[in-house]
Amino acid sequence: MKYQFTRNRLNRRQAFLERFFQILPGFSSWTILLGLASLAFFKPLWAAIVVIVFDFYWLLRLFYITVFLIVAYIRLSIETSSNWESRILQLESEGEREKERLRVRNLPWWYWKNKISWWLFKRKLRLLTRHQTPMPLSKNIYHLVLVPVIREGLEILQPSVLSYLEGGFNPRQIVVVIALEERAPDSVKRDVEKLQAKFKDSFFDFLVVEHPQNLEGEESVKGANATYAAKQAKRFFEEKKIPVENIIISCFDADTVVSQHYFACLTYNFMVCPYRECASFQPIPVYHNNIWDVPGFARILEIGSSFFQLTEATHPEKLVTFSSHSMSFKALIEVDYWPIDMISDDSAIFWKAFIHFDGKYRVYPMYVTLSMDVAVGDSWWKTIKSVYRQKRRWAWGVENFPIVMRAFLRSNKISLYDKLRHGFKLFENHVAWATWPILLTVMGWLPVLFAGREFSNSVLYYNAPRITSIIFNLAALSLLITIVLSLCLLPKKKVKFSFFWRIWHALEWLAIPIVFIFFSALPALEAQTRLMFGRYMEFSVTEKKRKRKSLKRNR
Amino acid sequence: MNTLRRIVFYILLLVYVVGTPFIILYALGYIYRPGEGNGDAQSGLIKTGLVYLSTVPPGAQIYLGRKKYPEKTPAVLRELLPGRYDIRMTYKNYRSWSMTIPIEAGKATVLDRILLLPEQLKPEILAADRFQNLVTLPKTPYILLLRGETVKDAVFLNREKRMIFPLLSETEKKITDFEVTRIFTTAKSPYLLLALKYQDAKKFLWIHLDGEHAEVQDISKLFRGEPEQVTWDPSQPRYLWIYRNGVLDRANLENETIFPHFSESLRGFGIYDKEVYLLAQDSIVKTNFDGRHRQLLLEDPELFQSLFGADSQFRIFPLTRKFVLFLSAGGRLLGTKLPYQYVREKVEGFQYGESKKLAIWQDDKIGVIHLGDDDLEEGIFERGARLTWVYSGGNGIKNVFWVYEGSQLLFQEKDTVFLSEIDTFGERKVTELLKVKEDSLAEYSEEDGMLYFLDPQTGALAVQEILPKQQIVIFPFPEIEFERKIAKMAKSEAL
Repeated sequence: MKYQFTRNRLNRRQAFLERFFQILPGFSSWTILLGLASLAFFKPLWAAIVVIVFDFYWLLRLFYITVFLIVAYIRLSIETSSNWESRILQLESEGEREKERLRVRNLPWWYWKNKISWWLFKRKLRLLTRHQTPMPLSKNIYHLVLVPVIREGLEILQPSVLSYLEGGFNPRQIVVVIALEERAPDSVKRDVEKLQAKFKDSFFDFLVVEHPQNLEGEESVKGANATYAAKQAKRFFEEKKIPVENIIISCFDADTVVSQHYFACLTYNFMVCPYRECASFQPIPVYHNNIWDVPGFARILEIGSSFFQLTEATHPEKLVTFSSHSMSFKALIEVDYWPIDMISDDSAIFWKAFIHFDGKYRVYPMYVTLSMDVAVGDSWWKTIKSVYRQKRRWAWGVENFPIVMRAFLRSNKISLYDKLRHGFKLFENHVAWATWPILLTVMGWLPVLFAGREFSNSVLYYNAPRITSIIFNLAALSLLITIVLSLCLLPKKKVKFSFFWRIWHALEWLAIPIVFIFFSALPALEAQTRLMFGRYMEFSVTEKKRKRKSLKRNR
Repeated sequence: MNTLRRIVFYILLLVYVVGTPFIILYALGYIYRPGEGNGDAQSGLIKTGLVYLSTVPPGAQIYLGRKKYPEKTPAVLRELLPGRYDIRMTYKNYRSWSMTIPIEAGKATVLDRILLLPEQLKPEILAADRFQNLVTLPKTPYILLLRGETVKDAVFLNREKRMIFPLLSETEKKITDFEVTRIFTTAKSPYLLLALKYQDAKKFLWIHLDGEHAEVQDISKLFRGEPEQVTWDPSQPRYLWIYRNGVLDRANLENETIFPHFSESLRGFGIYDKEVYLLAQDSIVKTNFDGRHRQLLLEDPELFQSLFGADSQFRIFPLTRKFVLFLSAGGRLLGTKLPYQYVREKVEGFQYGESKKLAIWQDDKIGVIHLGDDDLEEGIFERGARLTWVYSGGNGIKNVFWVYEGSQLLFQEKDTVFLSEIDTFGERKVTELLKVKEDSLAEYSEEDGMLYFLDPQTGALAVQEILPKQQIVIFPFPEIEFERKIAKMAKSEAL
């Protein structure tokens, strides 16, 4: 469906719908919070029952997430042990495939990860054969790595570019494009020049595209910069006569450090993906670059984000692109690149493609990590502000909701089931984001606090806190599993303090209710309230700093 | 993965759909009790009640009927079928406590302030002298102790420092033989006024207690006769309000001057927070200390007449800005909340407690007036404050105190001190605590949970812990608070 994925330049009816859907999430979140507070004040008995019903729902939802977090973690550890370069060879050569089959068959049982990995490989191959999609050869596949830059210097960019070189795929088939904002400081421009000089010969090419300011229709957002650079890259490939069907574009944040086999894994997944021209490829983002250099609250918050994405990966039907990810360059061109007037470009590009391809676009999860920086400032207080702003920017993804809903109302080709499924999930995710931590930590206790004589003399007054505490104790099981998995997933700190730091990190999780109120619920509530009142956010670059100069690759 | 997802999803959905009603029913007190199949009414899905028990000291063993519970207080006993239960609690070296309580379906029976008493009270002797009487300065650390009838026999106890110091210093010998005839105190004020008499000479001493010594000021010249009533605002102790024969004088202690006839033709007065309440023949007004800004408090002459018409003299006790009590010479107790008249006659005193409760006493009985907000109890008519007699059949009740956040009343009847529970479900238990010296007053201090009294045999000053310290809610740094309060008073005096 041809659709202008923007909130600007709308006719009267569309503008009305846009405002309605802009108001809906914020209005719902505030209604839930204030409604429960009022209920607790006027009808504490009813409020206590609502709280119990909600807490129980949350507990089961938590169990559900935990089950799939474990499954996803196991899957990640299996896929991490896969040799993607060999897998590509096995895809292209039947002889290699047979050799691998025999090798795996003769492995003892404790090599179960290799056996499962082989089984997954065979399954993907079968799926590809069933769809009769011709598979491109790896030698014809090119990677376009697009890195928007505005304030990031050499200390951030160089480790990232180095990781592309070591990404498990022939660098001569990788084109790196630095999308540099014209308004970037001179020092950054000089750093980018140095980087280009250093790495130009290492890749197929290393381009620097300067994005002019104030182009018509654009706002000061990352998507505008990336779009401008992608259009230049398209011309570059046309000049080189490389067909766009064989190009995979990865739009990375400047601090994105890919894992050792990232490009091999991406190439493999691109090759085995049926209808690869209608797919995005989502790795698991982790925030390990400076994880030990940031305060504890920022650490658990980002691990929480990684875990959320890890769990989401087990449900590809509902998966939406997030942060750094990759996609077919052809699809990107067909959907007319990223929105140039929206902040949340990472998720917006999925919705734009989903609508453009009438619901036939999907996100293909990849069990491979790429690592980014945790937002950090010069001081503890600045870190708090920086993290808060970053989370508010993420939560601003709610701006997609009205645009997507308008498209769903217009589209006849997207199935009703898909519309309901995606629409509800988008809405529910944002409302839950803004309300759940507050409901669980604060609102749940209000009925007891506001209890009048009638309620305080009821059985429910005494039973409600007991039930709530049982629910929270059971939820602690999930927390325990999360702590263990986070310890497994975290990069090793200096060996001398390793044990101490791991214990300390485990204890940091106890602060989760407070952390989630201040750095999850409140930013989300602010973002929704701004959208509700039409006070749109402007793009701000997240401050990122690293203490250590060299970066050891993780996973 | 999708299959696994569906299986997990449907299992959890089933758990939620089935589990939620069960959890709600349990939360509301429902349990399932298998029946015998003979039409037993107490079988099937039954709505139960619970009881919450909390004792001082905590950790008491609980018995419900014959059943001993593993939980110790504080505890919630759940899933109790509606009915009446005999409950008993025991604690080593303490008297066992028992009561028959009702359990109602869906309701919680709350017994959250049970005070367990030691089997043997062991008072501590604070001062071994033979005293005749004691007078506390309410809500201050000081107690005035009288060994005899003259002023030289008077000493003070600082309860916090456990230190006794004399009223008169060596230099004030010329008045040592004066007899103490009256003592005036005001709550929260470290000042007191003593009326003295020696043959035909009369004196009035204004005493400021400051930690470990008393500063004495002779203010006799400010008095024009025998006052009926003297009081002062704890935050403005430089002004004394002296009432005699319907005339109110205001004495300024700083420059020792008097403002005579501040108001006259009065039937009573009261002081609260820098304001004077004046009950005249046909009106009641409130004014500031300068006598300006008069505010009429009751405009309805008929109501005024019906309330105040019958008695000539009243003492006025403003307890808050909104709630004022009037006690007539004949013991009629009136108040500013409905139904205005609480007791018709013979009230000898009252104590205002927490939870908006007022304890009043007559010579032979004690009542509690609930001043809560539950006014609409009887159809469409506001019922207002209601009086419940909690003890009767006594003889010579002298003093009543609230204990443990208004859950008990401690009172002195002649020379015996009793403790009575207020929040009960049947007959109120009255426990005899101890005997005190005949004709002396025992004083209970809410601040430290201690009962101060004179030993009946020796007359020594003794103290008995009634409420263990950990149960007393203390505001941070009470001493600092008290000193700050004194400093504030001094500052306001200076102004």
